[in-house]
Amino acid sequence: MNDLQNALLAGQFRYILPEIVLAVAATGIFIGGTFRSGRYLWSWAALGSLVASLFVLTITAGFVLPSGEAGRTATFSTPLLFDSLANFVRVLAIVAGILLVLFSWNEVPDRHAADYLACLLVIIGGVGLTACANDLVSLYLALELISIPTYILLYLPRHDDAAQEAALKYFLLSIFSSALLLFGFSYLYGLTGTTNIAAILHTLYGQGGGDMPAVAQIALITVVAGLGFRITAAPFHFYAPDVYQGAPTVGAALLASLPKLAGFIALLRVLGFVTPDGVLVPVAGRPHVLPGMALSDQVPILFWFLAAFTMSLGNLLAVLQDNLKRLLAYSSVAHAGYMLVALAAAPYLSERSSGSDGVHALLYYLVAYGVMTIGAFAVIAFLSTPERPVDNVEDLAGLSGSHPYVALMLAVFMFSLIGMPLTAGFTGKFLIFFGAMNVVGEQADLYRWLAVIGMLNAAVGGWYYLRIIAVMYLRTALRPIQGRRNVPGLVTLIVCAVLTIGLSIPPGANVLLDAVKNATGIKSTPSPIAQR
Amino acid sequence: MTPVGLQSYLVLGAILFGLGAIGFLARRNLILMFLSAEMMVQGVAVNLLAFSRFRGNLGGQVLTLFMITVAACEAAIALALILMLYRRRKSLDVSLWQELREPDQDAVIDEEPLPLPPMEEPSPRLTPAGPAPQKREEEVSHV
Amino acid sequence: MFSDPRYYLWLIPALPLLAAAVIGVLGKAILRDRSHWLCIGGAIGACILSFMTLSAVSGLEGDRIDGHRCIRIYYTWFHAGNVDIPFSLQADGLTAVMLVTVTFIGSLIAIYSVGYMHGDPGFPRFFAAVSLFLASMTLLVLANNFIVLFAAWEGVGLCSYLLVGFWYAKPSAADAARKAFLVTRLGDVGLFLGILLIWVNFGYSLEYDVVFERARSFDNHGLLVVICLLLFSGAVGKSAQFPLHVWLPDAMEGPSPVSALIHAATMVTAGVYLVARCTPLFGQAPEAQLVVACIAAGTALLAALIALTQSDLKRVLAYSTISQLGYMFLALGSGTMDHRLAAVAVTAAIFHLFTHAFFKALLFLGAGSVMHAMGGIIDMRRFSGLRRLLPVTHWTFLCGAGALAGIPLLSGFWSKDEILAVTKQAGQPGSFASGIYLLLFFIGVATAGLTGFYTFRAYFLTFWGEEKVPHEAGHHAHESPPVMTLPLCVLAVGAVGAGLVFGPTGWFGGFLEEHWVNPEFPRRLLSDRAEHAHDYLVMLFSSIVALTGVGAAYWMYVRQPALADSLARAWTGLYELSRNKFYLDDFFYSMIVKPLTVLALLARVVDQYIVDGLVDLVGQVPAFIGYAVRPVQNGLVQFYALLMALGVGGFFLAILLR
Repeated sequence: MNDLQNALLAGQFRYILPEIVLAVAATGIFIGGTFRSGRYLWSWAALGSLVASLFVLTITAGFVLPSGEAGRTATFSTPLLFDSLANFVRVLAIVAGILLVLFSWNEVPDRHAADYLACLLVIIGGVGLTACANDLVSLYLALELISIPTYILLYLPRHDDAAQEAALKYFLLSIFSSALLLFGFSYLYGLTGTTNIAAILHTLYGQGGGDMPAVAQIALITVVAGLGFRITAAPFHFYAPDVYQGAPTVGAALLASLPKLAGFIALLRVLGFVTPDGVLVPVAGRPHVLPGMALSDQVPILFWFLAAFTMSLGNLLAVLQDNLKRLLAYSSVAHAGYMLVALAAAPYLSERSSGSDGVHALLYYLVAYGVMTIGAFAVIAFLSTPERPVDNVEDLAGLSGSHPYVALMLAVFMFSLIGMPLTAGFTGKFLIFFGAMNVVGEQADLYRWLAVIGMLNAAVGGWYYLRIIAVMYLRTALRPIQGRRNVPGLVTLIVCAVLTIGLSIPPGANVLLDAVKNATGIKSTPSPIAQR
Repeated sequence: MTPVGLQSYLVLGAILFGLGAIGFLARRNLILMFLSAEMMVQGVAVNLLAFSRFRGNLGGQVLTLFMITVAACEAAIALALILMLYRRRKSLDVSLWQELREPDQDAVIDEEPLPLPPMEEPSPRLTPAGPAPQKREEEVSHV
Repeated sequence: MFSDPRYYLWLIPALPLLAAAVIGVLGKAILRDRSHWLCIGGAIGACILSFMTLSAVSGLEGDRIDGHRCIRIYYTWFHAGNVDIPFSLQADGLTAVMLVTVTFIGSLIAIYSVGYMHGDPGFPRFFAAVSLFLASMTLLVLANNFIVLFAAWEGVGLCSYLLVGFWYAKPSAADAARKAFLVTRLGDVGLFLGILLIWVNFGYSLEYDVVFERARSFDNHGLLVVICLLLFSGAVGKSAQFPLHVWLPDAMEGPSPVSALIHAATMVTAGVYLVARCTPLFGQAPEAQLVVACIAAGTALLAALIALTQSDLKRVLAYSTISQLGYMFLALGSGTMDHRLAAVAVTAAIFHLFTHAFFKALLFLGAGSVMHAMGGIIDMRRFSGLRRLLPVTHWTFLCGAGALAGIPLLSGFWSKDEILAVTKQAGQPGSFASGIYLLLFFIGVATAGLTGFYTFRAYFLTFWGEEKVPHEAGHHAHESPPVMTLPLCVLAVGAVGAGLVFGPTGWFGGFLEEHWVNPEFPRRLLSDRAEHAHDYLVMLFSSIVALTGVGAAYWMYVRQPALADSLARAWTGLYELSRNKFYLDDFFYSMIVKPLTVLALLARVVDQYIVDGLVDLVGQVPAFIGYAVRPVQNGLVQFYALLMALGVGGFFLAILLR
């Protein structure tokens, strides 16, 4: 341990202040909740701490690694790396957290509100730390920081049979997938002799492109399996429909957004789709490829199949669903498939060659998907009352008559999920499929087929999303929907709807795309350095 | 005496991991399923420690320590969750929890039901002696 | 400000969009029965601006503005990587003509709808959707690149969905709406794929002129054909060509003004517009053009045959629309010989689009007027002899029917004739696939005869014979209010006169070619236009065929109505019939009517049970596969874990043993 490292470690506390704020607030709420119950009080507290965390983040975001040798040394030793991608994801996580707090304002019973909100804050912190993680240890801890509160959170707001079953299923399968992930981590460590992700990537590039050693392939598959659970990639998605259906609506919305975000970021980091500055990027070999495991021949093929399988399975099963939350679960699986298309094409794309970038498309789509899916779940929560729950598609009948504006917003979310132009869903799909079409070289045809599969899937998707719109506009209700007065819920809806449209038209589209570009900008300037 | 090589440790870890996985898939008792998953993690721990020794640094051991900590944390949650589930179903059988599934699918029912739990020996009781204690009003109403 | 069209071009879609937004937000609560004012205002405003654009475009002498033969404005939509996805608009001759057609007809139909939709509970909703449609459609023709075109393309599809399902209380309407949306989206998958291929292969640009410029030096011929066919598949869906035409007849569940606006005059012609716009691409791929022409001729004939036996007046018109769209595509597919012929072919198609918009909108509005008077009944077996009851409707309908049938000197005559002339030119010996084009020419002529027959069959059944009114009509059985008849009269003038003004004079084609941003079209060749465009032999031939069709309809449905009645009773009645009639009857029957009836029935069966069934089946495929994979989701935790483990194992096998 030299002085520089000590200084860096000491200095790092400054940069995880946003997460520290969340953790302290969570602890406070946990403790305070035993003395005072009441959802409004703790919701305000959670909202305040999220805003404070966002504020602290904007102050501390200007972290720059020292340039030159010192910076490289730091990259290869620090457990957390605060690059622009990390900050981008942290902002996303906090904003998503604010939306979810507003969403659940009136959903959680007073008794459990404090615990629920504290868990939510811990999850947000976990997502932020996942984005910063530069070490297998810190990555694992951050991911568990998301999982463990999620078990509790799925269970807290409601105590019926379905919620218990959902919590059980999520818990058991989650620990199973965690074990797979850890197995992959152990082999990665064994292969490279370090737990530092930057160093792991560095060592793996040292071996150039092409085939990876068998041990690395085992590690790759188990890591993808473990993270595939979080991003609901088939065949690791099976929990999703059951859990979304059984869990409280807000829990389902959370599962559809935050773990997916964390899972994809972890994939980007571990497999080296995004590499920290200072990691050797081999220039020789295949042109236009990203470094890391993504460099190998196996990764694109693996993701190709994963993507095709995931989106097809999700859409095919979604067509059959009547239960709204179950339908949205399959839709979530299908959209994970589209995002995997971006990831599958990413190794063959680069900014310079074609003007499209798989990682950019993925990040854009993550934001777009998060906004529209949180919005869709928020509509369900907004309309459900204990006397007249909105469970099935048919329960939305006549919504355009009783709640014209809510119906309009749900229609916006659905059209965005379909991918109609002038919604974020369209822009995202556009970027992803154009990326897949842009792949050059001998693999080009393979990726064009993937794009074709994706578009056929999007067409199938039109089928079931349209059914929701048709029911809500073209049917009359047997029992009118009551709905409640729920201002924060309405605010969530409006924000999501505005973002769904706003992120696809000027200037919103370019603001987000620029942010995405800045977030991953580090990788477009590879700087080869000597072996350590 | 030949030294035990890295490979042996890795095989041991893989076997532990595989046994855990098989246990997770085959056991229907919730607690045993959880313990099987823990066994998978222990297999990973063996891997990590062997690698740590092989590579001559502490990274693997650090990860192992954290893994054990997290496992303890998960155990606490598992205990709470399983208790709640047991209260609801009066059983630890995981296959009782299959209500959430595709709507037109039939429930999967095992042809061979689980063996009945052995009859519990009634706990020995002392012959009551002396006057019975008087219950107070509130207590009665509570019960 | 109004001297330079670049300042107001964006207003053309923006005005109706604004109207749609305001009606959408305030319609239900505040505007209610006054909602139509905004819609009509937006439409007329857009119409005036369109005419101004037209005059501005025609004023462009050569390369005056921006060095282009068109007006262009440019915004950035978003950027993908280093490339900007533009949101840019342009107006050239083609766009201006389409704009004027769309907004003019749109305004008239909006006015008509005030009377037609009066008292409907969804009054504001209707006008909001119509405004939204006008905005999307004008954006579609104003687009300067494929991605904006695609956005607007989806937008018009959405509006069509909303308007077909307008009377959603009827289950058939809701089903028809869904079908319309999903079937057209099937074609859109191809369109989007074609756009992606264009993007990748033409240097990451989607702007028309850049793409077309690069296409000239594009050497991968096979890929170009594929791109053209993919683009055409989008047009097949949107413009209801075989085999994706099945949605259009069902779409007649929407209100009649919607059928007139969207499913006759404007939206369904978007496919024609797309192919016309992409002439530089299609011009390089004669194989693709041949496919277009074959599908088009087949569709034209098939739809005309089916129209022969329909008893629902609006469905007759719907099949007729499909058939006429087939004519337009036939022209677009025939310009294979040289640039000269290509230019004439495309202008012929657009000219037919233009005249068709008038007379078909007129016919649908006329049908709507009949429906209005008959209390919502549109089955021609339920009413007849309405010519005294509905005098204005009758006369205007007659104008439209005459134009559609191709009666000499009416508008349809000129445009259809140009198309046939082009096809015949393409069939000249020695040119590309001349034999096939000659065959297509004869199919086109035969279809012209059928068109005359079914159009006037519908006309005679509705307006001639004894006066019969269904009881649903009640006291409604009178002429429609002036707000409805006035647009009819205006359209009738167009249907009668538009051809005569623009056809023989060559103004229309000349204007289009002069102001079309198409690098390949030679300019100022008006003098040799007539030689290509008007073939007097074809004119004579096709008029005789068309008039024969009309005459046959007159003979069967006015002079000998019993004949037609008993025809429907098929074979048992046949023998008796032929025994009792004259020799002429016998001849007429066995040589013309019988084969036609059989053909028509065959076409109908094929259409309803095979094509429709196939399209439905394609729609069911995802659900079937879904049912097949459904059992994996059986709710057992351990089964899920097993599948996860198997998944990992499968990946191991796939990758390690690769």
